Amino acid sequence: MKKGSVCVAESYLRQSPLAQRALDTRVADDTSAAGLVLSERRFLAQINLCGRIDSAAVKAAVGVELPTKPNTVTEGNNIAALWLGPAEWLLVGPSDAEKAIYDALVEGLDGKSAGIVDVTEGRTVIRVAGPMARDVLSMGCPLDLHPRVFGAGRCAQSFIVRSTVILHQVDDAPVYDIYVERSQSDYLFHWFETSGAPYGVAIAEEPATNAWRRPPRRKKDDEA
Amino acid sequence: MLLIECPHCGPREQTEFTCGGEGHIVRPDPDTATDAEWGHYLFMRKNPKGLHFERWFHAHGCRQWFHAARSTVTHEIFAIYGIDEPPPAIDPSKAGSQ
Repeated sequence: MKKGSVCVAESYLRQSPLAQRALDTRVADDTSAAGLVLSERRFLAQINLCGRIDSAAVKAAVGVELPTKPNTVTEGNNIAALWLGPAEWLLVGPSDAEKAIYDALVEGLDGKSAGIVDVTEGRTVIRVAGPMARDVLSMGCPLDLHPRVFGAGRCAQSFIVRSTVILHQVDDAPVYDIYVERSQSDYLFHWFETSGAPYGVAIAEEPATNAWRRPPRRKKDDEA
Repeated sequence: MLLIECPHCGPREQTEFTCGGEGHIVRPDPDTATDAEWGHYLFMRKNPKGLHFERWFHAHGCRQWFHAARSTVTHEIFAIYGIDEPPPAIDPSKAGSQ
């Protein structure tokens, strides 16, 4: 594989596409009465992986196994691997880990055919939770989100009110992570706020993430 | 609105898909094809009333192509099969063909 260079945005220029909504200043003390609880997960590391990938090599390089079942998510080492297609995945890690994950993949898949692209800056993630989350989502999303079809650990690509999204159900509570392209994120966030208004909308603090650590590299036989 | 069964993702709404038109069109060899054959390959399409074999693309999902056998009269989908598979045997009269 030809090694490329990763382009990482300068941190001082980096701004969330939802920055002007000033979500930090609107965090509710108590979200228990709200039907819809919204928050933004900022700057999550997102690496798009495509090709006929050696799953074991990915596991050794970054510590997560790739899902083979369509529209499912595997998690490991603080990375979530989302199935996007028969030969396409999205690896999602904590913020600021994209360079390290990218480098580990390039090294781990060296000599193999693979497409590894850092798409961190392309999308932001809106976390949608609360007892009415499923109902509000169903107003704008054509997916069948009923628990017998769609539960925790499932993901799907679809759209919500014409915005292309990746939907990942994190918890059966329910809690959803909506990956939306940054140019459409403000529109979608606004739609969530207005559509959830009848049930009460609260802004929650950004969920904490744990740091990604590179798995220890296995020593080669001659080094042992 | 059709509910189309993507071979990978399962049943999804039609709006997630793009129809790629008639399937199983064989590309003639450009070195030996006559102008008439090439023109036929590029522009001539069947427009049947009834059974139609067509290509579909799951544009807002897994971004994979596949084939569907659909009735243009009732919109009923009789079969979904891979992009590299031959068309299945279906009785055209069931699809409203004349």
